[in-house]
Amino acid sequence: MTAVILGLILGALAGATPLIFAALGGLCSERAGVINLALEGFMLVGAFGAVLVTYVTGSPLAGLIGAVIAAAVFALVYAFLCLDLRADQIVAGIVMNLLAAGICAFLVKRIWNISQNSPPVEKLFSIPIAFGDFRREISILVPVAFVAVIVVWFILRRTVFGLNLRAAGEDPSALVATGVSPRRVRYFALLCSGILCGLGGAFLSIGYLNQFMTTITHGRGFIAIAALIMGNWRPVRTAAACLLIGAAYEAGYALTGFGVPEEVWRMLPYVLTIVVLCVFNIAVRPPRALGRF
Amino acid sequence: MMRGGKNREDWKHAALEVSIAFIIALLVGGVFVLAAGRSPFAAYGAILRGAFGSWISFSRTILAATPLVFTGLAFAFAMRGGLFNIGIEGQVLAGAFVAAWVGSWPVGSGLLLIPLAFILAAAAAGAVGLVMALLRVRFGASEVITGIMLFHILNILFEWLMRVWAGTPGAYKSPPIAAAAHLPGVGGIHIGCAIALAMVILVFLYERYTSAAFKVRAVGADSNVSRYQGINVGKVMLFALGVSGAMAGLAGASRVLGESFAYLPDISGGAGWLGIAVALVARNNPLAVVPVALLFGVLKVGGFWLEQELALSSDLTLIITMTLVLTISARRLTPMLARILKTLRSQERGAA
Repeated sequence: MTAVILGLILGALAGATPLIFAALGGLCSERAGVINLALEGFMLVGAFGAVLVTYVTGSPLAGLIGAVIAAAVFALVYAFLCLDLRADQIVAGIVMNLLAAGICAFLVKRIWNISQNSPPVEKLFSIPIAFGDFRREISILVPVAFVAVIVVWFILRRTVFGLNLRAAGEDPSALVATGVSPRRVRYFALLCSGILCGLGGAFLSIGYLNQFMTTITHGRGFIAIAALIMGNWRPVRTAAACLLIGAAYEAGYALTGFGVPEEVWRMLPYVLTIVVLCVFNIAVRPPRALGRF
Repeated sequence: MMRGGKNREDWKHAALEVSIAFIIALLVGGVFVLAAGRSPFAAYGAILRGAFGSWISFSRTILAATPLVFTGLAFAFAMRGGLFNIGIEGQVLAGAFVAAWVGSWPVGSGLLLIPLAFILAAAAAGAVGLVMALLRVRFGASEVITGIMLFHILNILFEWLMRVWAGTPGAYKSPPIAAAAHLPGVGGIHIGCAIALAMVILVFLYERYTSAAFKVRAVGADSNVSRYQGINVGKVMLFALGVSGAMAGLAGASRVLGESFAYLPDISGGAGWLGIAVALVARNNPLAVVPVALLFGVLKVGGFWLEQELALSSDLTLIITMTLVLTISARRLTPMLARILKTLRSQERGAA
């Protein structure tokens, strides 16, 4: 029984990890006032970068760096489109996801001459967990995700950059009055967003699995947005929402044997988001200048 | 306003912007082809041959463009009211599922069954749009978020219902529709395309001649002002998203009744997301939706030739399409390019 419960907990943690990274990425961007529906694309590019660099160098650690750089570059393209070229943020976000899917699928086919899946590569370092007879490994990125929550919280609450970032999202004109350019702050915010999503993508491709698949993100970027809304754009609450969703999935798979269809659990985060948006409408408070200049 | 603000300068400007964006998109695509070690000219030649090389490929291009006409119109319709119908993909699925269900009814006559399937598909998808509008009007929930969430909910729901309906856990498609429900057609092109064109004309006439269109546009321009003018903003939003959803549903119905003859989870083929792109490139103009959808269709169908001739992934055309859309949505790009050209020119003059 302990083994079952431990398995469930570890499963929930692993399920929540990519969501936490992506949701924190969305949080950095949206708290700075830039709508970000491109999390799915950022993660996909990160997942691909991780496998490509690991495949070439043979080192998953280099792959992790590759993931972060790839996703960060992609995020900066999004930043350039939104901040300098004034593309519509909602449309650009959705289109960036499709662009990411196109680029990754194109390169997978060209590099490995197969569609959809890359060959297996070496996985990132995992932490072995042993408890009595129970043996399991969890990726090093799982604890990193929780550290990231604290880091993001600390930066937002306790640093000048965090203050500027929040100001860019609430009242950019006030920021201008203090002599700081909101555009610059937002660029850095999107850079952070890319880095975090890159970590999330790397977790999927070289932390959890050991290969890239064109469908690897599987809507997680959008679930992360759901978690971000449920967490009211606050780091700790958002991470809690991610954990809740991760636990719901894990419980869902465990309960399929008891007649509860797995689909019900898969729908749950989306339904919950709509409910939260409607029922707690007064409490839901997005950054005031979200999507504005 | 369609009648007042549409002068020749606007058209010229729009055409120029689309051309610049198209060139940039082809250049970006070319860079990817070069990086893959192939000739961009060979690649673009292959796309054209794939899309127009024979009657079969041409008819496929038309079929690929058809759902995009529906979804492009749908997105543009809601956008006129300032509403982002991001739920189109879900609405296409709703239309497709209902069409597959109605199509399997044991009604002998296609004359009865086909219109029934289309109408009920449109009604179901319109209901999804209405739900989005209702959540926005009643609870203030952003239609962008509810649209995304509803898509995921419907996607999972229909996949589940499809499996229950098919009776096997591993089923990847629903039971086939009745032969009577198959759309009639000529040379591989079914009447779904004609319905799409009819919708274009209908929307065009509606935008030109009805006061409903004016109200939608007024709400889109400024919902507070229109509220003071006595327009029932909530009602207008319900109307705009409801009709938009219904049009998206027709795309799903046309795919099921004309091509797949069953519900498949990937029946939409991204038509909902691409519809957003189509509307954007067409600048929400119903007449411009047709050539833009055709262009997207050419790229989509032509892409398969890339795999056969050059062993490149057809996803190259996705890269080209999305670069095109991003460049067009980048409002400040053309002024920026104009400024760069100007400085270059003045530098040349300074050097001379």
